[in-house]
Amino acid sequence: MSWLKKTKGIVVAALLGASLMVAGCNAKTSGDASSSPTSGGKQEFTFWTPFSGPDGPFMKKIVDDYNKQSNKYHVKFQIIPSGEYYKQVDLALSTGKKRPDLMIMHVDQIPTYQKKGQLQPVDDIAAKAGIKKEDFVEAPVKYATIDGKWYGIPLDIHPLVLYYNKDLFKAAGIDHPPTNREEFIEAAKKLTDQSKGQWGYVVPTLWPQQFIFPTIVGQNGVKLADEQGKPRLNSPEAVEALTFLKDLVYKYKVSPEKVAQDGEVTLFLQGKNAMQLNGPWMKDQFDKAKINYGVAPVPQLGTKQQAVQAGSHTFVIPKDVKDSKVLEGIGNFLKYVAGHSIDWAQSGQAVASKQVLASDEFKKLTQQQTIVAQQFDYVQFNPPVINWGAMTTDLYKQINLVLLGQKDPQKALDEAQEKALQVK
Amino acid sequence: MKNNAKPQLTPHLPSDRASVNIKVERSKQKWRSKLTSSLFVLPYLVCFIAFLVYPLVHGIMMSFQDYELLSAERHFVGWQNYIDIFTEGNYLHTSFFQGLLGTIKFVIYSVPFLIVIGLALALLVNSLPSKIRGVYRTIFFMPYAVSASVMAVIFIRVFDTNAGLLNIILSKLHLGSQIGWLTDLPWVWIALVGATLWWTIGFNMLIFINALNEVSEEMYEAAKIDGANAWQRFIYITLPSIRRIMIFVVITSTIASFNIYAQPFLMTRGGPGSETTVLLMNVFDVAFGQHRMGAASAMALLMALMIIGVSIIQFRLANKREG
Amino acid sequence: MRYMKSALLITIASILAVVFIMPLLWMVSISFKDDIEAILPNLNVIPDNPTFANYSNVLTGGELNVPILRWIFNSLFVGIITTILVVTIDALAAYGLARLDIPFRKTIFSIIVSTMMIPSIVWFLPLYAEFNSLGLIDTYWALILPYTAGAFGVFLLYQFFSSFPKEIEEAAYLDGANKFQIFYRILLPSAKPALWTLAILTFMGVFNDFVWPLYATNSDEMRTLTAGIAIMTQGSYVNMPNKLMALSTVATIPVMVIFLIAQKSFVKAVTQAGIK
Repeated sequence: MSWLKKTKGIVVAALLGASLMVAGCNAKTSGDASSSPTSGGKQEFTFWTPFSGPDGPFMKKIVDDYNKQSNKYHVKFQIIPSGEYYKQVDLALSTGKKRPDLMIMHVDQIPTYQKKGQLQPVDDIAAKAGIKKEDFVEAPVKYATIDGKWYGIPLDIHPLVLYYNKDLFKAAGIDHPPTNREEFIEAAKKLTDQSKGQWGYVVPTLWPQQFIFPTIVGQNGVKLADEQGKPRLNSPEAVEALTFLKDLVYKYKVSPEKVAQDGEVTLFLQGKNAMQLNGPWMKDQFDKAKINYGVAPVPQLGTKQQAVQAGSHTFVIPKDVKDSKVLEGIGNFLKYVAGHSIDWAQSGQAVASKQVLASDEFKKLTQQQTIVAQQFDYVQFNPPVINWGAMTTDLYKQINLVLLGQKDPQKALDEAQEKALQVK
Repeated sequence: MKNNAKPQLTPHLPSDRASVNIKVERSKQKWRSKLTSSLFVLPYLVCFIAFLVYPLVHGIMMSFQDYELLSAERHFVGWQNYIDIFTEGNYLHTSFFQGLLGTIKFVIYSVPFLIVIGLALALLVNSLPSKIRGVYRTIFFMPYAVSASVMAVIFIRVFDTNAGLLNIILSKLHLGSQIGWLTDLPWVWIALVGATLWWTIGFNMLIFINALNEVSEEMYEAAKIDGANAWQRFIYITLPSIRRIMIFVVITSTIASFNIYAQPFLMTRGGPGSETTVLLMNVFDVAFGQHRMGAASAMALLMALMIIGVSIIQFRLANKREG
Repeated sequence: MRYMKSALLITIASILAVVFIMPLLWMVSISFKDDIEAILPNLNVIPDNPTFANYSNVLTGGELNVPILRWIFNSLFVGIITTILVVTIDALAAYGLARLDIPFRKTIFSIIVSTMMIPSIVWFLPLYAEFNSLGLIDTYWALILPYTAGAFGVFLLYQFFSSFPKEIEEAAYLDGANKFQIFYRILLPSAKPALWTLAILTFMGVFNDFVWPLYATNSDEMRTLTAGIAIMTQGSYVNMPNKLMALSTVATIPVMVIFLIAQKSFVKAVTQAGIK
């Protein structure tokens, strides 16, 4: 017995010693971002992304291809789980040592991080690398330009789209996806057959209402915040939008009640839900489930105009990146991406680079990407208000209650407005 | 020995020297004993101080600052964070008390079951024939090996209103229409507590099994001879014998339930509305959603004070019963 | 009569066992289903078209070519080393605090236990900053050391050691044994079931933790299995349950194997202890 313990002790000591050596080796080669080591003569820099989903491999391909063709620079590519991304970013930026040189940031986060002095303007790098603002779709560039300085080079724009089940549409005798509210309600009603457990449009009560609700509000002609950056969550237009969503469940009955998280997606995948409003990132899953689905622009469900809520992945550079060689490398890489982001489009995203949008290869891609790009003229992002996420946490809880039939829309939005004003 | 010691500077009588030497020797022995005893706890204390106390002190200091994760400026603001938490209308106030309500509900709903069912399973497993005991013990413990996100995916599948496995089973048994396990009261709490029990009861069961095995057979034999039935043996022998472990399980289960995060976050997102929003969810929200680490630290420390208070009460009650 | 009672107990236990094992069976069965069948709301445990595709996808690192075998090694290595360290130093500390004349031992014990009640987020960021400034992020040190400060094991073993009868120890003292000998030769052997329990729970806790390992590492080679899986699956496989379940099964198997191995020793220890 004690012999066993003794050998255990030796094993432990040996393992600890080995781990020390391995750890020492790792500490050297894993590279401290701020000192930007070179690998085989090439200038290295780190690039962080939140692409922990099916789109990750597509970005990896772009990075690998770039590394192969570049004899001056090498990109170290890191994927961070999307749910933990901003926590890790915050930690890295605040402690300084292990921060990335280049990273992806959602465009609506830029105002907050810029205000806290965490980002540096990319005007100079872009100019040196030959990247111009006009190379990209206007909306995200405009959004990312604060006080005359440009902070984020866009990769893609991902707005809401309409997914519909072509088989169910055919069976119900509907020949084209709806384009406005009346057509939408009519189609949904035709596609609903409760005896078969089939629904025209299942209304989600949690995610992705963060895209759906602002879309309809925008289509009603207003934004969720005013020009001064104060929230306006309970405008009559907002109440109208929320009431419409609620009516889909309780008045028009095209959706089951008590839909839980992702319930509408599961039903769509099972062929029991005819229409779904979601983002282009769902493409991969629908492909794999072999649903005969079609993609269309989001119908104008609001009363005033076309609008669609979108997010956008942009490239930003943390403030402390000072090494001119690294910055040059970043510029070089970004120029490459702008010209080669067709690979990114393969993942179902619509890219922001005008050059790629206009190319034949892009047009040849399955209809999704072109449909997505069609909506670029009227995309809207979250209001550029600091801590918008925290301000609207309660909003989506209230929306959840309304759609579960547990609260009145006006009251809900009034409360959400009150809570939003409490956030500094 | 001799008590008529004359005040002498250098006692040279053998007997006097011996008595003083014994006293000195004894206190040296005591001191040496304490030293060797302390060596037992030293390795742990080194790790404890280096990797827990040291960062903890920093964390406490953070709660007295307006420590923003992203900005370079950190100002000492004294008790402001704490005051904000108790000020009506302040964001922190709503965040803290709304979350606290959810957490307290969960603690009350889950801890009794965690203890009773844990003990019951341990008793059940121990009463099975020894050949098959291991199989059942393993089965009841296995869910503990599953990670949080997997547990959530499984139970979302089970509890979904329209496509969930539980509702399908229920409708096959003609037991009622679609229950909103994740969207309606009171089902939502039943779902959360149920998922928690499945996932973590193995932990308590294993600890109780250990405790039950420590109880000596002879006591049971003696009681049987005295005519005590199974229930009486349980109340008068088993429970008192496992008292220390019972206290341990009560306290650790309470702490665990206070710290709940994964189940409501992944399964219901804190819904419907804010019903199942728990305190730790809001603490993370303040910390990373608003980047206010100082305020979040303050909230977490208040939560800790509460847990400590509850634990002290539990401890005192347990000791009182001992008499 | 005894057989009836036995039969009743076995029946109850079996019903409960079915309830406990069903979700796990579903998990494994979904992992063998193809993409189309995986999302259907059927209850059958045997897939219509069983496929290994999900597993081959996962084990070859998926499309990201992640070093999944290295991750499994990391998790096992960190888990085992941490468990050995924790059980050792916790047993020493618990025995010292429970039985020996350590100055201020009641106070020290109370402080240790009360830290269990503080949510770890309070020291999470400072801990990260501490390892960062020591340059130890992305090393095995960072993955192992923080767990050694845990109070759980000390608390658990303290409760067990306190309830051991003192007579044997006292007899040994009179025989001239020193503290360490008593600890090593007398107490530890009788405490084996408790020690194995702590070992199992510690290993599982460390192995399944994904938050700290995610922040403590940032290179592919150093990630642990759970952290690595989060990188591959968050936000995507939510609606591809078969891939997620395959990943989960792969992540759960090492833990289960260790548990089953530890069980054997645990059982041996329990039966030995009974023969006191």
